[in-house]
Amino acid sequence: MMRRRSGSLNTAAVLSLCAAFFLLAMGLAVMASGVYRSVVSASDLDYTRRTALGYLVNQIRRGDVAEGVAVGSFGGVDAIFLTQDEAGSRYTTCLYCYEGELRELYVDASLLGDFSPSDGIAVLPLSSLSVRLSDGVVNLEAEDEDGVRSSVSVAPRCGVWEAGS
Amino acid sequence: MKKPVARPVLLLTELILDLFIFVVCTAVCAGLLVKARGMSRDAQQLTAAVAVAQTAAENLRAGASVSSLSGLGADGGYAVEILDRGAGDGASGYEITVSYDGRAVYTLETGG
Repeated sequence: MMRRRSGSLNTAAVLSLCAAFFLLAMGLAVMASGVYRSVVSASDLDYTRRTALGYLVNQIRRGDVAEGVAVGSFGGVDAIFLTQDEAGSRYTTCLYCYEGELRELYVDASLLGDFSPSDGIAVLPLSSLSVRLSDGVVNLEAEDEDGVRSSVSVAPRCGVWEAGS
Repeated sequence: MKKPVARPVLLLTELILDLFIFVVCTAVCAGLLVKARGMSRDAQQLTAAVAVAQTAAENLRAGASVSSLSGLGADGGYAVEILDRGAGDGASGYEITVSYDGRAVYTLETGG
């Protein structure tokens, strides 16, 4: 009788230890997945901030020459126009957001009106881009696929003007 | 002569030791995960703070007044403090400090 009771106690102890193993392992796995999700989410947000806005700011700085930077509308969407002289002709790089993508269109400046936003080359995913000009400062506000908005401003040294197409 | 230890007792002892080692490993892993989350949050705040500081610097460069930039980044919980270094000691430029929850996250010093 005593021996049988001792055997059941041993079995119960082993089972409870196994249950403790299981609970600890499950807790660690749940915690790890939660941390992974939050890290990936933060990384995505940083990606939009750093990549999309950083790309636009650097493009504006690259095109910062006299009469080189303009902001306005291209086919109904906010856009940045960077104009430069090349081999005697004027070419415009147009940066805008269209159908969930940040796009870039490089064309002869005089032919820009013949193109539509769908003609641009997709650079990276972006939900929306707002471009505003106030007191010589270009204010950029981007919204990523999760609806998180990030903004940054840049003041071109050679000036900026409003344009339209 | 020594009395042999019963097999179930040995098994239990081994399981308890295993559990102890597992608990130690779990504690280390949990600590690392918490640290990873903290580092990720810090990186996110730093990226946002750099953007806010850059925006302040660009606006100052364009001629905006210090007082007009006080509310910059407020919608994201950031506070901007701008120190005009040209105000007293002969140096020129600004020191822009971006804080989150009262803790300075990023400081940008601009030239004259």
